[in-house]
Amino acid sequence: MSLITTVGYEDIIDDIQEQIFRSLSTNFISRQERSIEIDPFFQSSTSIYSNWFFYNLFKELDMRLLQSEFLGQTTSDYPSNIDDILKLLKSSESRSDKDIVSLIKSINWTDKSADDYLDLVKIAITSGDHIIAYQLAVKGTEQFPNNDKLKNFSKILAPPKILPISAPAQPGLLLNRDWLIENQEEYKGYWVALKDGKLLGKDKTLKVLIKLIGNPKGKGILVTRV
Amino acid sequence: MLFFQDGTPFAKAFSSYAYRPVEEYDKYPRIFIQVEIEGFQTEAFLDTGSPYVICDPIIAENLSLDLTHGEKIEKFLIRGYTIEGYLHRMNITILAEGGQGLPVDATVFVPNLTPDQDWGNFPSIIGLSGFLERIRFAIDPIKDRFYFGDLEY
Repeated sequence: MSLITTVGYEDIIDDIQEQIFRSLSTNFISRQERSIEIDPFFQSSTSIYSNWFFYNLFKELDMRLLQSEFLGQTTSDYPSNIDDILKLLKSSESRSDKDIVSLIKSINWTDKSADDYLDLVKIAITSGDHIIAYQLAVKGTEQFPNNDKLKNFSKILAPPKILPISAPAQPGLLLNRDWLIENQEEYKGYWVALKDGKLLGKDKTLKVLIKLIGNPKGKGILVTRV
Repeated sequence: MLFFQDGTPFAKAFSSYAYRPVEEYDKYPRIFIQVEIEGFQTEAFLDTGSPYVICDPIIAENLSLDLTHGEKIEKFLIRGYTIEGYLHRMNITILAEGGQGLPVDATVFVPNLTPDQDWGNFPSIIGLSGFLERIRFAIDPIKDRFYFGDLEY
């Protein structure tokens, strides 16, 4: 994937967050406790809660200050700042590791606000806990039935559903496939538009190809890159 | 089609798939199937590591989507890159050469790129937990055929 992006403060914050998380996560749940069976929801909520913890911490640290401090600096410039943040964490955190584990275990999800739920849903999605994200959206919607955002997340994140719509077989697909096999060397790297095995247009970019052929939506035209 | 031992169908439809790398520099080929994303026919590759369907942003531009119906996600990880985008609910149909195509109402992530980001020629992705998890599917690597069907029979 040729995604090109500049390194901004968000990347640096991500990096810091990851490093802090790595350095502390082993303390959050001791080896002994990790070896015992912990239910998947607890495991995921631990991860989400940890992220949420840091999310709020960064809020407290004043994101704008961090932004101005880190903006334009390379990753090699900030290890000392990580230590500073770690010190801050440790000094402001009087609880022991066991207390933190107990705290996580005792999370009362029902005392969260709708915005808390929304934050948690987004954090769960970002951290790859997609099933938990859906569960949180559903829980949040149950608690705040008039919150449109939570309702929408519940709808969007719901499991996939097979639709009772007829979608007849399309013989043209095989003709398109045959064309792609026969012409793959000649058109390699091109976006092509095909219908029933006939070439309608080609270009190096999808954007230009669509300009050439018009919007193919609903016209039974296959648009793909060879 | 494919059947269980008791004669009940496993899959009621099939289509040919392409087996090629996603990009020129990729070492390993992927399985590309023909799908229709809200009526836009394209090829998408199967990625069991992807939670949702990922829709090429150029394709999304041509779907007349109302962004206000989606939910913005500031940080979504795709193949090691963190990008912003919107989650939508869309109708994705696996197209069939034989049998019936399979329309699925699924979660779709649409990248919303900043001017300094480039999606390039990366194709759309069919993920596991937000799509394939509710579908029976099988691969015939001799004939390059993708067999599929719903779980309801």
